[in-house]
Amino acid sequence: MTPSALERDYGPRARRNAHIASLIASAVITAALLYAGYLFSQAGGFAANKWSPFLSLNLWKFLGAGLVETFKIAIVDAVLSVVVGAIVALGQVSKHRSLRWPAIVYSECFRGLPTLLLILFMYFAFPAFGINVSAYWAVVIGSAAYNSAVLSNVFKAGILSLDRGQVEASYSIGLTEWETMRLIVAPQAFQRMLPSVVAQMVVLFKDSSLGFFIGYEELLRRTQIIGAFSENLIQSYMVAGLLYFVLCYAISRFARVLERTNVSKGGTVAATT
Amino acid sequence: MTHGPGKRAVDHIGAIIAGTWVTIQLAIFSFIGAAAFGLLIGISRISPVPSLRVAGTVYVEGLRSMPITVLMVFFYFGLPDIKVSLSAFTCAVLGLGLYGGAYIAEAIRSGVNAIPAGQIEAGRAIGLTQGQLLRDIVLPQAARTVVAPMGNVFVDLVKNTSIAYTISVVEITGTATNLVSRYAKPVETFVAAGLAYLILTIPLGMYFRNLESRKAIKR
Repeated sequence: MTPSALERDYGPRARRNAHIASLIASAVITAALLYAGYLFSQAGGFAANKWSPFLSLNLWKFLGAGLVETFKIAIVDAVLSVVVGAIVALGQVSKHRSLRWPAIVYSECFRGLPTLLLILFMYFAFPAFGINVSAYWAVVIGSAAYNSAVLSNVFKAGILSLDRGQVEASYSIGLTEWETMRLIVAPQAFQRMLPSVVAQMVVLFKDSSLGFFIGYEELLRRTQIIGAFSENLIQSYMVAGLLYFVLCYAISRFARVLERTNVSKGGTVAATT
Repeated sequence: MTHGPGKRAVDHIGAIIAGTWVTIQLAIFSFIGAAAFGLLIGISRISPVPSLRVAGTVYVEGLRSMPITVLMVFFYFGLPDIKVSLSAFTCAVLGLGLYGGAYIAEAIRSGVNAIPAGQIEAGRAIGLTQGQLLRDIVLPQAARTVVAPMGNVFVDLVKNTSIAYTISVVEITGTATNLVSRYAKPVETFVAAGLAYLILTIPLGMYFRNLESRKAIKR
C-alpha cells in the first residue's frame, strides 16, 4: 500500500514522535492480545483435546468436501450474476421505456432485500407454486438475484462513465445502438468496472455461507457439524473463519491488482449497494 | 394477505411490525457502534504511527473477508465454550457493529485519500501541525466524501440484520420464518417480510443518494 500524502514527508521531530507512539501502540496491542489469549487458555480454549480433532485426515476430507460445495455455489452464482447483471444493465440504459423500467425495478428491489430472505423465499415459498427447489439452487438463485442487481448497477455505472461523445460519434458513422454497445462502449466499460466486479465476488463468495441456514452442507455448515460432534465449537469457528479469510483475501488482492493495472486507463467505477 | 379468519391477518401484520422494530433497533445500535469503531480504526489507518496502521489494516482486511454469519455464531454459540454468555441481541449488535466498522474505516480512509496531495503539502508549507491539518483541512472535506459510502454501510447493515435470525433474534426474517412454520403460508409471509425490508431500505438509499448529491465535492 502506498502511503497517502498525510503519511509522508515528516520532519525529524514528527518522525521520532511517530516511532515512539508506534512502540507504545504495539506494546498496548500485544498486551491486549496476550491478555485475550490468557483468558482464552484459562477457559480451556487451548486444551489439546479441543484442537486434536483438526489433526485427523478424515476431518479435513469432510471439511474439504464442504469447501468444494462452497465453490460449487460460488462459481455458478458468479456466472449467473454476471450474465443476469449484464442483461439488467443493458435494460437500465436502454432507450425503450418498456425495457428500462422493469430493469430499474429489478435492480432497486433485489438490492434492497437481504440475500437471506431471497434464499428462504426460494426454498420455502416456491414449493407453494408447485416448484420444488433444492437447497443448492435456493442458495445459488437467491444469492444471484441479489448480486446480479448489485452488478447491474456496477455495469450501468461503467457504461455511463464513458464520454457521451463516443456514443454520438459512433451513431454519426452509422452504427446501430447494439453495434455501439458491442464495439465501442462495452469493451471500454469492461475495463473500468472490472475491479468492482471482482470486489463484488468477495461478497458473493461470502454469501455461499448462507447455505448454512437451510441446511446445505457447505463449509460453514460442516464446520458446525464438526464442532458439535467433537464439542469444540469455538475452535471450529476459528478454523472456518481462517479458511474464509484466506480465500476472500486472495480474491480481494486480485481485485487490487486489477485496480492498479487499470487505473491508468481512465479510472474505475465504484459499486453502490 | 389471506390468512383465513380476518383477525389473524391483522395479528400477522402486528408480528411483522414488531419484527421490523427489532430490525430497526439492531441496525441503529450496530451503526452507532460501527461508526465509533470505524472512526477509530479509520484514523489509525491514516495515522503516521506504523503499528496502528498495520493493526488497522489487519482488522479491516480480516473482518471484510469473513461472512457475518461466522461472526455471529462465533459470539453466540462459540463464546459459551469459554464461559462467556452474551444475549442473542448483544451478539447480533456486536457482530454487525464489528463488521460494519471495517467498512466504515475503509470509507474514511478512501475519503481522506481522495483529498489531493497538494492540499496537504500546502497545509504543511504554511506550518500547520498534524492535528490542525486533520481538523481544518482534511476531515471537513473527507466528511463530505464519505456520505455515500456511509449510507451504503447503513443500508447494508439493515439488510444484514437478517443474519441475526440464525442466533434466534426475532427480527423481520425470524418473525417471518416463525409465521411460516406455524401457519404454512410461505408466499404471503415472505412477501410481507420483503416489503418490510424495502420500506426501510429504498427510502434510506434515496435519502443518502440525495444527501450525497448535495454534499459531495465535485472534482
